[in-house]
Formats: sequence, structure tokens, C-alpha cells
Amino acid sequence: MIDVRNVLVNPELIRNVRINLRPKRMFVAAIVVALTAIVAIPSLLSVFSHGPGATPVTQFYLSTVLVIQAVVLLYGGGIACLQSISREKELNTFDYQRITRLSPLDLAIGKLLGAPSMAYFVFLCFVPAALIGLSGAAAYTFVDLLDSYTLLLLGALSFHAFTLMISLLLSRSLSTGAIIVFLFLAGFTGLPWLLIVILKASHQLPQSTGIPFYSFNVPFTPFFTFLYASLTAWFLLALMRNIKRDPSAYELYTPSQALAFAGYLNFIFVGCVGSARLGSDAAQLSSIWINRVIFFALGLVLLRNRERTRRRLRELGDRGLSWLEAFWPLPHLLGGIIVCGFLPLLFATPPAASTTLPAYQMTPQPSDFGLILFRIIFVGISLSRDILFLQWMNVRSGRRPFVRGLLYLFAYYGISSALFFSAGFNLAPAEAAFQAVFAPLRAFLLTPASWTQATGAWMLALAAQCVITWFFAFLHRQELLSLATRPKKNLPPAIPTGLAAPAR
Amino acid sequence: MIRIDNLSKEYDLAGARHEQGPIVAADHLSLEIPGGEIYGLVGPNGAGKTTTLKMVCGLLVPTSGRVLVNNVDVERNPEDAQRHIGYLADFFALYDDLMVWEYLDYFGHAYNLPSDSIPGRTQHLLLQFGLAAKRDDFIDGLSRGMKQRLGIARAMIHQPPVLILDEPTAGLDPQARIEFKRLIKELNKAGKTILITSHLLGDLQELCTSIAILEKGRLVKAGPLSQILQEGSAPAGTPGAPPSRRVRIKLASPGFDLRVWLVPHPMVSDIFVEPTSVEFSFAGTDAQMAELNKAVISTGAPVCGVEVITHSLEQVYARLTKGEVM
Repeated sequence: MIDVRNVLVNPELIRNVRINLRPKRMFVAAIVVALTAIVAIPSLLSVFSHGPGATPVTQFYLSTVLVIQAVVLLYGGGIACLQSISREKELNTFDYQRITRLSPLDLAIGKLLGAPSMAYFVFLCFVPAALIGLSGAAAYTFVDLLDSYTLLLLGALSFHAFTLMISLLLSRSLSTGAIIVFLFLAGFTGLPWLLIVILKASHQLPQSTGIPFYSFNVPFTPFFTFLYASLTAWFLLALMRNIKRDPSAYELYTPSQALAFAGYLNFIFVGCVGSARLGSDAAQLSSIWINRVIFFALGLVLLRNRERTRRRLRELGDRGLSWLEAFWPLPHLLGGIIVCGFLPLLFATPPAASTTLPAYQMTPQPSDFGLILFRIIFVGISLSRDILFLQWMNVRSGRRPFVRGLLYLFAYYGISSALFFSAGFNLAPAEAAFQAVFAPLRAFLLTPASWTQATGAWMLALAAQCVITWFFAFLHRQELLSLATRPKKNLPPAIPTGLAAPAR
Repeated sequence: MIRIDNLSKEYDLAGARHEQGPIVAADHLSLEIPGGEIYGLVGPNGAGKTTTLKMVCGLLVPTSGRVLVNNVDVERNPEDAQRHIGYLADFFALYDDLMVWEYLDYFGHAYNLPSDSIPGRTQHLLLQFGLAAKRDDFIDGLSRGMKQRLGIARAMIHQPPVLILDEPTAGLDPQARIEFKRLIKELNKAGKTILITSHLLGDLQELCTSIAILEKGRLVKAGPLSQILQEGSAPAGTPGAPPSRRVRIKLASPGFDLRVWLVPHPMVSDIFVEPTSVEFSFAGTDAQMAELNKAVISTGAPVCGVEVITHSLEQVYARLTKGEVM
């Protein structure tokens, strides 16, 4: 449990607050906020608030203030967190923190709450403006405002934890260009969150609105409170595990933690998507889609770099060169994706007989269990193939081999997707199976009819995937062999070892 | 105090071609640094000094081998080991936006010192390092020498028995260097074990009690400074022969040809004569040296001094790394 008193006296938090919230800076920030709240927003609203049926000005004002608060927390706080650790690495101050007695949790919490302290201060400065807006918004109560703020702060916290984790993984602070890209991406991830805040603020969500989660209707605020708090906990776990480690030995999660995280995301996904409403086929397809993304991320987390591989080879000796090692992290990915691929089926019910879904979305009958299993394995193997390729690249030496590997993969999928779409959706079953070797997307469109007609061709496509996967495992193993035997560089000129001083 | 066992660190240079092997920053290093020493690590750029220090601090994980600080394994129990260590990095940086006292206060709390003792400890360090007048100044406004002193004060805040200083004199002006050396000697007198690297070999010769010479990740030579200087000053001898040393006999007045007396001596070689002195290599024991001196004086030579010549650390270092002597 985190003791709140300890959080308030956290040295890292205090350091950040001292740096960010000097009286002069706070004064300037407060003046800017006051000008925005008193002059800028009212002038803006006066333009839009005329005419019959317009939203009352005060409510519009309140919504605008809340949106500004959300943007400040999302972007201002996010950028501060994104730069927090990477900048310290660049300045060489991070090593000093790593060798203090600060626990990893203290360090992570101190940065999580301290780095965006200016954003929180600006947020607080806007609270009086929000209260003024609230006083004139009849349909909006103080409890509603607290609701919005709870969501806003928790959402910000989870987003900040995520950006802090990214900052930990960066070796140097980001350039302006990279920050713009980040803002763009953060906009995508932050939009739904902003939407929620806006909806809550403008009171367009009725009080009874809840989130259908499995067979329950969970109230809005508790659901998102749980979601944001649990996501924050996951990101904090990764930070705590790594923040005091040697960067070359970073491992965001242990394999079991990574699997648990994938399970957690599936739990949320299956509960929210509502398998019961989709039917087993659509539920499984959507689950496979989302799990391909989840397990790709998990695969990236589990990849071993050269340093870790080298240490493992030293620890394990000959066992480090086994095929099991060469296939890392395939067992975790395949096992996880098979389990998660079946999960939605547990909650699915057959659709009504009068369904008008297109043929390729038809629900497989119970006799199509083979198809369901095939689809999961096919996607699992194709994902493993990609991850093994990246694992091979990650242990290679050279200039940014992992980044090159990712780029190759993006290029490959770009081309294969172009081929996929140019070929259209109605290929003959054997042709579809052939194309699936290169564009695994095709397996998502596999219908019971196509499966029955060309089972052999599809099995051949699966075998081809297995061969390619094995090929990357082989290349990975060759790299392991070469790491175990490669001559070292920079050996000194021949010095008789007997003359070098031994330990006294 | 610090024990380094068979420590290795390999890594790949960013941008290196696939065919190139890994860089070996430390290659099976073994060292033992007793308490109370000022121990210097010497070597050219890329010799592995910083990497070794970072492994000692637990900042880098070794590829193999282990480091014990006060009998605590750094890799297994980094936090325990780091209690005993104060560290100053080569390209040290401070938080420019903090005031001097805030900086020390932060690290006092970060090292879990009792809250009520931190102001006193901070004040003590500010006085010890001559920064008391700058207590409320922002770090950004300090000179490089002051920043260096503040960095060491930070490393000392938790009163560690071991100080690890990586290139601490780099970039300091002569006055700041003199002050710094005085400070290090004081800390050593106070019982601190100091592990230090520097390219300024004169400084190390002045400060260190022992040194280790590294080259391309390997230990070339290690031991007490006096021993290394003596061995490093000796001419290259034949393997298996007794250790040789360079000796100079000074004469009060010119005109006496000592060469005639020295040439037949079996332990004397490489004789170099000047008007009022003669230098030669002597491959014998101290007792044999005494006998030789007695014999030289008995010839009536006006001997006014006999000394064993030792080179400076810089000269010894150059000879060792060229492989001239071992």
C-alpha cells in the first residue's frame, strides 16, 4: 500500500516541485490562467452563444474550462513526464538517483506526480473558473464536477505513467519533431478520454448511463476509475521493475507478468465488446484482432537484446544454445494467444437464425471447431514469426538492428496489405490460402465453406508459416552460436599474463 | 573494502558492423582495494576505467564476474552495497534549477538520513567544502570548481566509507585542482577509501597510495604506487634474472672515472657517465648494493650521494603500456 504521508514527503516529488513551482513561475502561470478565464474564454463564447436553443453560456463556459484543464493535463503533463527520465539520462543526473536509497516505487511516484506539477498547478488555477461556471449551470451539480475531476485526474495519472514508462525506455530526451509526433499520437489516445470529460461536463450523459461490462451495467465513474487506476498500476509496475536497473538489462515485465497483463487487457476487452451480443464468430474475430496487437506488444516486451542474451549464454552455458532458447519468446506468445482466442467463445451465444450478416461473417457452427482452432493457431504462428524475426534482429550487431527490423516489418506489411486489397475479398479458397502465407490477414476472412473446400491448402499455408517461423528461429540460433564463440575486439597486444599483477 | 573478481563487460558499439566483435570494456579484471587507500585507475580513453567504476557502483551489470563492496555483492544487493559508496561521475551534472542547500537536502532525504539531521549535515558539508556563502545560490550560477566541490559534497552526504571519483579534476583550473587534491587527502586522512580515475597522472602520483593500469579492458599492472614506480623505472631485464634497478652515484667533484670500477662488476650494466655522476643498472639485492657502495667509497671516489632512480608515473605508464617493462 502507498502511504499518502510518505508520498507528500517523497524527496523526488519535493525536488520536482521545487524546480517547477518557483514563486515567479507560479505567478506567471496564474496570471495567464486568469487572463484566459476572464478575457479569452468569455470573448470566445460570446461568438457562439447567440441564437435560439443555444447552450446556456455558463454551461458552455464550464465545458470549455474543463476541456482546457484536460488538455493541460494531457499534453502539458504528458510532455513533462515524457522528458522527465530521458532528460536526466542525458544530463547524467539519473545515475545519482539510481544509487540513492530511494526505493524504485518512491522514485517512480516522485516523478509521476512531480514532473507534471506545473500542469497540475495550472489545472488548480482553473478550478475557481470552473466553480464560477458551475454556479450558473443549473443542470450540473457539484457532484458532477467532482465526477469529471476524478475521471480527469485518474486518466491523466494513467497517461502520465505511460509516458514516464516511455521516457524510461528512451536513451535521450526527445527532439521537437518527436514531441510533435507524440502530441499527434497522444491526441488519438487522449480523444476518447477528452470526449468523456466533455460529455460529463456538458451533462449530455444521463445519470443512468453505465458501461455494459459482461452481464453487468457498471456505472460510468466507477468503471473508468477502475480502468485508469488498474492501468496506472500496470505502468507503475513496469517503472518500478526497471527504474533503478542498468538500461541494458531493462525488462518491462517478467514473462508471467506480461501474460497477466495480456490477460487483463483481454478481460477488459471481452467485457466491453460484449461477446454475448456479437456471436461467437464475430467475437472470436474481434478478439483475435485485438490479441494480435496485444501479443505483438507483449512480444516486444519479451525480446532479449544482445546484452541479456550474452549474460544468459554465460549463465546457461551450452543450454543457452538449445532450440528452446532459439524459439524465445514463441511459447509464451502461442500459449497466450490460443487461450485468449478461445476466451470470447465462453461468453458468446449463437446469433439468431435470421441473421443477415455477409457470408464471411457467418458464425461457425459447433462442428467448425477445427476452423476456430485453425484460425487461432494460424494467427498465433504468424505473430510468432514476426516476433522471432524481431528477436533475431535484436541480437544482431550493427546500427540499430531492432529499429531496422521494425521498419522492414512495416514495409513488409505495407506491401502485403496492398496485395491483399488489390486481390479483393472473393478469392478461390486455394488462392486465399496461398496468399495467407504472406498476408495473414486473409485468415480472418476464412469462411466455413472455404475451410471445408480447401482444408489441405490451408493446412499447407499453416505449414509454410511454421517453416518461416523455424527459419527465423534458425537464424536466431546462428546468432546465439556466433555470440557464444565470436572473438572479442580490442584485445591488448600480447602481454604475458603471468606478469600482470594478480589480486593482492 | 572493494574486491573485484574476474569482472568482464562486453558490449557492442553503436553502429559497428555485424562482423565486428564486441567491445571488451573490462576483461577478467581482478583487484582488491583495501580500506584507507587512495587507489588510482589509470589508462587511456576506452581502457574501461569508467565502465569498471560504474560496475563497482552497481550502475552497470557486468557480463560476468562480481564486485564486493564491504563484502556485499553489488549485483545481488545493489542497495546494500550503495550505502557504502559515494559516486561522482565523469561528466557530472547537477540540477541547475535547485539552490545549493536544496540539492544537498534532496540527496540527504534520498539517502534516508533522519530528517532532523539533514540541515546540520548540509551545513557541515557546505562549510567543509567552502560553499557556505553560496548556500542560497542557484547551482546554475556556480563556477565549475564549486560545482565539482558540490558534487563531492553530494557524494559524501551519507558518509560513505568508499568514494568513487571518475575524472574529478577534468576541466578544473590549477587553483581548483590544488584545492581538490587537498580535499581528497583530507578525506583519506578521515578514513575514506577513494577509488579515483584521472588522465592527469601527476595528480594521481601525488594522491594515490596504489594504482592499477588498465589497457583495452585488461589489467596491465596493479599494486602500491612506490612498488610500481620502482619496478616501472627498472630497465628491461632478461626473464628469470633478479629484478634490476637504476642507480645514480653523485660525486662531489668531477675527475674521478667510476666506470673503470663499475664495468667489471657482474651485477652492473648500462653505465652512463656524466662529469659529476654516474648512472647504471644494478641487478642485485640491497645487501649487494651496500657492498658495491662500500667498494666504490673505498676507491677514494668523492661520493656525495647514492640514489635509486624512479621515473614519474607518466614515464612508467608510457613504458608499461608500450610493453617495455612488466
